[in-house]
Amino acid sequence: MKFYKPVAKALFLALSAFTMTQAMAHHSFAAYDQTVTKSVTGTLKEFDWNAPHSSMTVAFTDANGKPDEVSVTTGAPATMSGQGFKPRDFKVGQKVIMTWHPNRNGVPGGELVEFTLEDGRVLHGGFGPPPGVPGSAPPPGAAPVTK
Amino acid sequence: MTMHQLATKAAVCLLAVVLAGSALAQAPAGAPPGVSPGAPGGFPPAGFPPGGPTQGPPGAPAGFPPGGPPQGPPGAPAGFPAGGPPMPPPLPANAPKAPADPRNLEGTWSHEQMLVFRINTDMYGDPLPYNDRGRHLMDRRVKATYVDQLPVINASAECLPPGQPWQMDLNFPFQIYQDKDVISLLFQEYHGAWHIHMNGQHRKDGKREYFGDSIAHWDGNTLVVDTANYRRSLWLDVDGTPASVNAHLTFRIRKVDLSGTKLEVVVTVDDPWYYTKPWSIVRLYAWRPDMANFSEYNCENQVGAKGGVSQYGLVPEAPEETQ
Amino acid sequence: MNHPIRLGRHARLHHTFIAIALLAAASGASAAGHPSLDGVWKLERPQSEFVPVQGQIPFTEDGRKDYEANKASGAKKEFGYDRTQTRCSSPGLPRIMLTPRLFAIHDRPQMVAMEFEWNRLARQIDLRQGQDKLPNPMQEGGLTGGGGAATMIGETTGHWEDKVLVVHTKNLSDKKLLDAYLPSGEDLELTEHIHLRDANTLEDRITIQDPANFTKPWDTVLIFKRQPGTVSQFREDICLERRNAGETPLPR
Repeated sequence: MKFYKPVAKALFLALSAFTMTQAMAHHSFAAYDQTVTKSVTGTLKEFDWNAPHSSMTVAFTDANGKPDEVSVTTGAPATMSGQGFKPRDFKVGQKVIMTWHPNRNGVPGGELVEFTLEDGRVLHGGFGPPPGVPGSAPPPGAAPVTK
Repeated sequence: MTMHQLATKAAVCLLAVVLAGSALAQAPAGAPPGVSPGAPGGFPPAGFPPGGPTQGPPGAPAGFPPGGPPQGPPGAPAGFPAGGPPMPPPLPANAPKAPADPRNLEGTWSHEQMLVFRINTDMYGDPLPYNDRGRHLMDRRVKATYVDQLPVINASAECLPPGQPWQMDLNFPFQIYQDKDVISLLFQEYHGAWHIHMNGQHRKDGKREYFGDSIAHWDGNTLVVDTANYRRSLWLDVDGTPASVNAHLTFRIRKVDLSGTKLEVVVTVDDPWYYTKPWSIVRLYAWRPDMANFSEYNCENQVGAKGGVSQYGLVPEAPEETQ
Repeated sequence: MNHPIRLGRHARLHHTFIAIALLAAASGASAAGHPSLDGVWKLERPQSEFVPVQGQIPFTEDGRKDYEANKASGAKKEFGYDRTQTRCSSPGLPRIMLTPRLFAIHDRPQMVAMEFEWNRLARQIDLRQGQDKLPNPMQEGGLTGGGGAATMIGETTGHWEDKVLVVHTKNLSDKKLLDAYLPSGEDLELTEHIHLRDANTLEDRITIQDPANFTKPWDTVLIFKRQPGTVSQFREDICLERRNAGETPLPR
């Protein structure tokens, strides 16, 4: 990230409460149950870079062996590009692992927590504070994971 | 004192009030910012005190749980940003300057002050003059978001125009184009378009639009815009401060010189349905020619897809009382 | 808030200046050697498909296959291939120029902006050159930085060559169509030559270049007629509401 002056960087650190993501601007993410994380391993069916919301759809086999799919949302392209990803990284058909906080309203899907590509790189969902920051989403394993 | 000096002094006073107002919006006097007593980490608030939501602790604006309104978005820890990028850096020195003509508002502008999640107080620091109906609706919305954690659908979530205050509060750019009988404000977010009709009259055909029906005239070098006939009641801010369909919103828009050219907008909400008297807030927008090329906003691609707005975990709001 | 003002000479001069500038824009006079494109415009004849200037559209095998599949689905009223018709997703470029409704052009030295009545969309043609091309903090590592991600509307730059606005668009998404049926690939690039044929006629000559779908670039021309009035006649169009009421977002 480019800073025009050292003071701008100091401002960034001091005043980062100023900003919000595009996603936050539209609706509250209290709508996602952040105490629960769901996870699937499957095949990437679609990854739609879009503003304000991107979405990803993963096809998987459910507990009964039946084919199913789930779509999850995350932030605008800045969420991906800010972590060094390019659209071509999300090639349809690759094996992926997707974790998300489910919708409180019961509708399948929710907000992306992590998206692991076939090559092992991990995209973090863009709705909340970056991982590792105090108060950010609990690390994998710390919260109940339902499959 | 010259006009310029008067304007500068007024603007400085207003800026001080706005910044103070922003601070007030985060916590009542005496409470540590963003921390609700009884709630570890401050988030979400522990709930409303005995006696109901409108009786906050002394000093807290009416309608808030102990500790005042939570700071930051629900789901984020108290005082923590949403993880978004930083405040934009200042404009480079070689950037083009705003036109000198005070009535030429053309250019790219952006709100660079902290987004106020809940207006709470007017531009003078006084609590918003809710009537019982307004207070009840606001309490209901705050409870849905912060206590029940079942936030409700609003225009913004539905990819519909959210009305001018919400639209202009967002920290994203907009452009102004002036023509002989109309001024266009084009917004990056929601690909919003607000058309202000110069020296016209409010429409009498009964048709209503999400941005309302705006007529304006110049009062000296201040553009005075009167907006009425809203199609849908407004969420004036992210937490749901209401304005009814029959609210009159007046926008007083002028350029001020305050560490660079700013657009000052004083918004007066005149809405007897929810408030006992009109009240005003003020916002400043920075001249940002560097933000001229907008990023695409295509919410329809998501909201128009199967599942619509429910994919964001939101629930429909109970209808407001009709007038 | 407002102090009664007796306009001084300085303020009066300013007001006179802006009045002249607006009048000049309205009358078509130019600030920099080209006629102003300001005004409200509408397609001379409604069309939802591009017609090549010469001969047939030079499809590749893939391009023709996709086109015919889209046409076949459309004939069965299955519009899954067309996000604009199903979701009101932005038609993007070049399809937004086929809008059946009005659009207005704001012709300014550093940018030509077009605002469309259809779903309140806009496109921007960035005319800034050299050191005027300030980095956009929103986009470089910022909130709306796309990291090169393609969009429906793409990225458009332009410059004036005498009386012709020469426009180039790239970085377009493939999750849309060129028009009602033509496929739009991720390597699509558009060049437009926009000029006034006469005071009331605007021509947009579009060169379509997409090696995945077309064996060579091909041209199509759109003609727009000037409409009286300004954007004050625009009505707030909410595509999703029309769709939910059973209309198709765009005429077929």
